[in-house]
Amino acid sequence: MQYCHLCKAQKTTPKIGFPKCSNQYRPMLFDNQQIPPGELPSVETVQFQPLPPQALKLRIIGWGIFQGMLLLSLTISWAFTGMEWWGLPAFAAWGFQAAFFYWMTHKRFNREAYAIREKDLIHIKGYWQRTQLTVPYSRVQHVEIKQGPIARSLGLGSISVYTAGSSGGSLGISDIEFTEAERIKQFIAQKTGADV
Amino acid sequence: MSEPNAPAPFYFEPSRQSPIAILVILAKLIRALIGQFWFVLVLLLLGRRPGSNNQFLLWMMLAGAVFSIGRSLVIYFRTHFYIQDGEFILEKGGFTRSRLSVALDKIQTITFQQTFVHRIFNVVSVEMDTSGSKGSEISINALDRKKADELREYLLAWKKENAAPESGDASIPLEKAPETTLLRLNFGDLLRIGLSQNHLRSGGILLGLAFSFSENLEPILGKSTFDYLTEELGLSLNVFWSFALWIALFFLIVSVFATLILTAVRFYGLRFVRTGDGFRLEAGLLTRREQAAYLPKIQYLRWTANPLQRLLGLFNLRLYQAAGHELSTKQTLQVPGCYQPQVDAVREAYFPGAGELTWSWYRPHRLYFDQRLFFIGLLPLIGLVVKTAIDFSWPWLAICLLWPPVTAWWQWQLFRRKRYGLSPEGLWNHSGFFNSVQTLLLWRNVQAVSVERSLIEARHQLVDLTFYTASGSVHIENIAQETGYKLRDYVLAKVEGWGDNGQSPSNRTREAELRLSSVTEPSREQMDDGSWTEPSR
Repeated sequence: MQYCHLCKAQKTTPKIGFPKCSNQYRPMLFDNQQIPPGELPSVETVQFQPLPPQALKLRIIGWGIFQGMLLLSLTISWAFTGMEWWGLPAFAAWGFQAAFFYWMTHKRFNREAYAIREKDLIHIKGYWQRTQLTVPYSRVQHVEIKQGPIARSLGLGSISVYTAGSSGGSLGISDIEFTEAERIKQFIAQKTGADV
Repeated sequence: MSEPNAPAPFYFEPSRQSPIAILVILAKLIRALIGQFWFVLVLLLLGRRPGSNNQFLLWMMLAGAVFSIGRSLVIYFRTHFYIQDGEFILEKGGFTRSRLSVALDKIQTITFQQTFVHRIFNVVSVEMDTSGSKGSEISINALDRKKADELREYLLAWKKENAAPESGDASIPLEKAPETTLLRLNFGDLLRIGLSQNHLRSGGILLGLAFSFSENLEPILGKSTFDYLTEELGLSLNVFWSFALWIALFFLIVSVFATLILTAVRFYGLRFVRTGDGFRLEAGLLTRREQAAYLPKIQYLRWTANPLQRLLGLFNLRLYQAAGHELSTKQTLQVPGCYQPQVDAVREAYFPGAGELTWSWYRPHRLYFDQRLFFIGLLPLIGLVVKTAIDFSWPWLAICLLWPPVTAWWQWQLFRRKRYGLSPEGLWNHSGFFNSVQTLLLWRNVQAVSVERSLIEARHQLVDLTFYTASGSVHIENIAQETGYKLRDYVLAKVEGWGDNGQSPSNRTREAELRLSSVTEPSREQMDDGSWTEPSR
C-alpha cells in the first residue's frame, strides 16, 4: 500500500495518483498527461531580435575609449623610459590586439540577439563560446534598467532580469533601445503580475 | 490603508531620501576613496615625498573631495523611490542611471539600520531583500524614521492582503507529523567519519607547504635544500628519500589528527531529524548549531563518498536550500556519516519515487575525455618537459614519463563514470572517480536554463546545459545537441507550466513523457560495464 508522503492520503489507483491530495508535492509520476513531444514549444523555432545598429556604434566607442587609454599609457611609459627599443614591438602588439578586439566587437555584436516569448525571455550571445540563457517570467525576482551617458545620447539602455539565488541564472541584455527595455520591463511586470 | 480624503502617502509619488542621505553617501564615497588610495595617504603622512609632490597629492585629495561632494549631491538629487502598479521602483544614478523594479510580493525582508550619524538625525537606512541573486536589492541611504515606519507598514499590509494562495512554492500548509531521528552520531561514528576524510588532500597541502618552505630556505643556505642535505650533512640519496618519506608520513598523521579534531568539534552530538515539513540538523561541540531544511525550499541533493567512505558504506550528504544572497552557504545542510538508508530517506522525501523510476541514462560524448586529457594531461606535460630539459633530474624525468599514462587512466575513469539520468520529473547525475558524486534535481526547482556550445562542441554537434536553481547550478556536459535542445525545451515547458505561484498544475502543466527517441537508450548492464557510448553525430 502506498501513501502520499506529505498529506498521508492513501493511493487508490496507480493511474490517478492521490485523488484527495491538493498538495503539489504529491508524487507526480503517475498523473502525467502525455502529449507528443513535437507539441512542446521549441526555442529553435523562435525568431530572434538582433541588437540595434546604434549598439555597435556604442561598443565601438567603448572599444575606442579603452584602446585610447591603453595607447596613452603605453606612450607615456615609453616616453618616460627614454624611448627604448621595446617601443616598436609593444606598439605592434597594441595594434594587433586593438585590431583583434575591433574584429571581435563586430563578431560578438552580430551574434547577439534576444527573444521575448509568451512565458520566457531568451538571450543568446558569444562568438567562441555560444550561450543561450532562458529565464521564465515566473522565476523573475526583479528587473533593472540602466543607462550610461553615452548610451543615453544614442537612445540605448540595458536591462537585467534577476532570478532567485545564483547570479548565473540572471539575464542581462546590454545596449538595446531604451524604449524597448522599458517595454520589456513592462511586459515582464504584467506577466509576473498575472502569475500571482 | 489611508482615508479617502487624506493626501496620498508620500510613497505613491516619486520621493527623495532625507537630505541626511547626502552625508551618508559622502561618507560611503570617502570610505571607498580611502580604500582605494590608502597607500597614497600613507606616503603623504610619512612625508617620504619631496614638498612639491606632497602639494600635488594635496591638490589631488582636494579634487577627490570636491568630486565626492559633487557626486553625493548628484546621487541624492537623482535618487527617487515610489510604489506604482504593485511594484517598488528605485531610480538612481550619477553618470549611469538605473531604474530597479521589484514586485511587492517578491520583497522578502525589510531591514532598518542606524549608524551613529543616523541616530543623531533620527533617520534610518532602509534595505529590502528579495531572494534574488544580488545583495540588498533596494537600499535607501537615509529616510525619516516616521516615513520609514509608514512605508514598512504599507508594505507589510500589502503583503498580508495579497498573500499568495495555497499551493505556492513555499506556502503549503503541511501537516504536523511526528519527528523521526534519521541519524545520530556517537563517538565511534565521529572517529569513523574523521578517519575517512580525504587526508591525502590535506596531507598533500601540508607537504606542498613544506616544499615551498624548503625553497624559501635556498637563499639562506646558499644552495638547494636537497644539495645542502646531501653535501653539507652527508646524506646519501637513499637516506634523503627515506627522510622525505618519513616527513610525508608525519604530515599525513598530522592531517589525520587535525581532521579528527575538526570533525569532532563540528559534528559532535550530530542529530539528523525528519520533521513534518522537512529536516533538522543539530550538531557542534563548542557552538551548538541547529539548521532546518524546509522540504519545498530544498533545491537539489548531492551525496558524495571517497574510496575509504565507499568501503565503509558512508556518504556525505548535502541539502541545498533556496536562500537570499548572503545566506546561501549557511542554508546548505551538510550531513556526514550517512548510510544508504538515510540517503534513501532524504531522496524519497525530496523526490518521491526516484528509486523506482525508469531513468534514461546518457553519457557525455568522447570529447569530454579528449578535452580533459588535453588540458590536464597534455598542457602540463609541455611544462614538465620544458622544466626537465632546462634543469634535468631523474625524478622530474620519471614524473614526465608517468604523467601521460596516469592522467589518461584517471580521465578515462572519470569519463566512464559520468552519466546523466533523465526522467519526466528530474535529473540524476553520477560523476567522480576517487570521490563519487551523485546529484538529484527536480525540474520544478529550475530557475533558468542555459545552453552553451564552444566551437569544438559545435563541430561535434554537442552542447552543455546548465540548470540554475535558487541555490547553485547543476551541469550536463557534452551531450548531443539534439538531446540537449529537447531537454531544454522540456524543462522550460515543465517550469513554465508549473509556475511557482499558485497555479493549478492540472490546467497549466504541459506534461510529456521524456522520449528522446533519436538517441539509443542503453541498458543498465551496458551502463555499468561502460560498454555503451552515446552515438556521435
